[in-house]
Amino acid sequence: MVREIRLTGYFDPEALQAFAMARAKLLAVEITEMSVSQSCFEARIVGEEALLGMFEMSCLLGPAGCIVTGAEDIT
Amino acid sequence: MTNWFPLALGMDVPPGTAAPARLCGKEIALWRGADGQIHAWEDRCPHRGMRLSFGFVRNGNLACLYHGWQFGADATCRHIPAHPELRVPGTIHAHAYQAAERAGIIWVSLNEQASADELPNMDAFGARSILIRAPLASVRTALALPDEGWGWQEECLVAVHEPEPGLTMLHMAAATLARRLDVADRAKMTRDRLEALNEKVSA
Repeated sequence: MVREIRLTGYFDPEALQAFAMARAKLLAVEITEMSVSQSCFEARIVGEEALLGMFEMSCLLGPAGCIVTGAEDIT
Repeated sequence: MTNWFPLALGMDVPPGTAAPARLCGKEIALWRGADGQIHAWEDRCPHRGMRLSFGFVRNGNLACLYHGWQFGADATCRHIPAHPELRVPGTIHAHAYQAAERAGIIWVSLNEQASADELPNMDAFGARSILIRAPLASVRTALALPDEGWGWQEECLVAVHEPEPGLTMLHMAAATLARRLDVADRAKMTRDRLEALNEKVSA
């Protein structure tokens, strides 16, 4: 399954990118595209549906210092 | 003997239970399945970071207390209750360390290459693990232990490890089952003597 997600909020881009990559590796989710700024995180992710959901939930919680105020599926 | 550390008495982690331990500030979950095999893992669930030592043992797996993710003896995740149909990918696993049980004591190595040949090979019965509020080096000196490894003194195995700086765990095992209570008393007296000595030095 493929999904594209967008999170908006207040981010430490480096921390969020490292966090997302580590979580993706753990959950066997492939990130085929990713962009991170101080206010927006977008990723195209491939994997099993349940694992994609877990990945998205992980990113919603995020690492310390990253606050998510909005989330949408842009697939 | 730089690779293996004594973390607990074998009898302090009965089959079907988990227990926390610390080694140089690192948190470790010790657990034992019904088959009696001892395991030592990083005390952190890869899902949400909950201490795995708070978990419970079910069907040979260690289940995290938080969301019930179950990890098998090889540390891989076997079951996620929220997604019972999911074939869990092998990438989800706890971090396992080498663990072995010798002379009534659970030994753990953070080094994957550590050889079990370095472990004691005598028979002994775990008697007492006790915390001493004194630095490891001073305890080793006071007990005439080598800089690394354990000692065999008066029919008793004496081993120490540092749960965190400034503290020492003393583990003692008796040569015979009959001497276990005597050795346990000796451990308490040793603790009292070394803590008094440490206070005197600090004052």
